[in-house]
This record gives sequence, structure tokens and C-alpha cells, in this order.
Amino acid sequence: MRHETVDTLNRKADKAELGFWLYLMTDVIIFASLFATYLVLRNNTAGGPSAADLFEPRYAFVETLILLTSSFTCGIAAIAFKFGKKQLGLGLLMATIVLGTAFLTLELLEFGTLVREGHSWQASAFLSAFFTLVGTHGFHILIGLIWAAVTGGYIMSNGLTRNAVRKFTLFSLFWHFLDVVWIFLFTIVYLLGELS
Amino acid sequence: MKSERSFKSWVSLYVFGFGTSLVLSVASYLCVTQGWFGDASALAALMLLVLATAQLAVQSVCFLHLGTNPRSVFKTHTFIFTLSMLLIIVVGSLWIMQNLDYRMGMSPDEMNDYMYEQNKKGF
Repeated sequence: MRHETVDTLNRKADKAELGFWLYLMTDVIIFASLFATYLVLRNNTAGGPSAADLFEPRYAFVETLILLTSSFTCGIAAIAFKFGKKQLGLGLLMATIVLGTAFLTLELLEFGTLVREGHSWQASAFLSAFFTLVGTHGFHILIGLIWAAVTGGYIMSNGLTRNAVRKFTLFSLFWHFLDVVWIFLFTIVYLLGELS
Repeated sequence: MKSERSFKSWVSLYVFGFGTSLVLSVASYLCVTQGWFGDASALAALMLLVLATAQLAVQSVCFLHLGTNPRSVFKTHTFIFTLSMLLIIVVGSLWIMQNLDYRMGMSPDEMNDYMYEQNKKGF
């Protein structure tokens, strides 16, 4: 078993995937720190509104469905590319980008509404922690969208080379990871916030 | 990335993961908006965390392809290690800050008396 494991790692794609995976694991630690900060500070509203007053679960639920669907289309796109189905893969990648952009737009609209109503990150420790946590996730989504567009362009101009498939596998890993982080954002920030 | 699985079996794995995640998301949303647990908010919070963890498990297997086969075993090991780090960071922070809050949560006069008592004990 051990010998077999080392043997498969000799493949370039597997090595790249493990290296990228280790980066994602360090990202988990960043999000863990931000979640811990948010959980500690969430009741320190400085007399302002709390999570239950500010957030609309229905709005966050729509965002959840959009991101989950984009994670799904991205996964199917990765398989399609693996099996050489270029057109199907590109179509699904386009769907992923559209859904990801919709998600980011909804998030920025929510931020805009909060700031306009005077609940910006300066208002309280709770809001500082909220904007840092959700904003960091949103920033990752933005980077993911740029990455998706670049990889899509690469596949369109260079065709489905082995390298292109490997690059796309890493992107799909990143995108699925962001959806997993969002599950906990949705649960802890929006749903648990509504309970208390 | 050649694999033994056929295209169809990959797609059905993803459809299964997507469907299950969808059901779990809808369940946690309804749990809050329909007030399934009434006033028992601690129970509802526990339920939400269980649903989120279940979804984490489903997506880890179906989307992130964690498992025990030789091609993913390193990923699985580092993932479990990172999750334990995550729990230490989050639970540890909450524990320490709760404790601090409890100990500092008194009026200045009470704090003076408390410190006076503590000083009498000596270091």
C-alpha cells in the first residue's frame, strides 16, 4: 500500500494536485481564524443591530443555491474535460462563471445595502468581523472567477492538452472548496444568527 | 488523469452529491424559517451544525474525492489533520474568550474587591 502510494505520486498531475491541496489546507486555517473571530465578536454590536436584525435568511439561501449549483456544473465540467468532451466542458464552465458572477453580485449588493444603511465595518466589532469573514470568501470567489476565465481561454486557444486538463482539475478543487466554506458561512453567520 | 470509472459513473457520483447537498441545505433553511424546534434554540443550533457537517462529509467524498485509495489517501490524511487544527483554533478561542468574559464581567468595585482578595492570598 505504501509503495503504491508513493508510486502514484510520481505522476506529475497527482503531485500538482497534492501541492495545491496543501495550499487549500492552509486556507482552511485562515478561515478557521476568521470564524473564531466572528464567533467571539458576534454579540459585540456596540448598541447597533445584531445578526438577527440585519440578515435575511432567504437572501443567503438563494446565494447558497447559486453557489452549490455552480460547484456542481464545475465538477461535471472537470469530468467532461477528463473524458475529452471539450464543448460540453466549455459550456458548463461558462455556466459556472455566470453563476459565480451572480453569487458575487448578490453578495456585493448585500454589502452595499448594509453600508448605505450605516452598518459598515466601522460600526461595531460584530460588523468588522462579519465583513472580514464574508469579504475574504468573496475575494476568493473573485480570484476563482478570474482563474476560471483564464483557464477557459487557455482551453479554447490551446485545445484539451494534458496540461489544460490538469490546470482545470486544480480550479475545480478550488471551487468545490469555496462551496464547502460557504456551507459554514451560511449555517453559522446567517442561520445561527437568525436563531439568537 | 485516466481513471477506471466511466463518464456515467462519475456524473452519477456528482448528481448524488448535488442532490444530497441540496436536500441538506433546504433542511437547514427550513429548520430556521419554519421554526421546527420552536423555542429550543440550542437544539436547533445543534441540528444546524449536524446538517452542515453532513454536507461537508458528502461534498468531501463526492466533489473533493477524499477517500482511502492510494491516489487520495494523502489528501485525506492532511484534511483530517487540518480539521483537528481548525477545531483547536475555533473551540479554543471560544473557550478562552468565554472564560475571560466571565472573569472580567463584574463592576469596577467588585473587581477591586476581587483583586484585593486575590492579593491577600499572595503569589
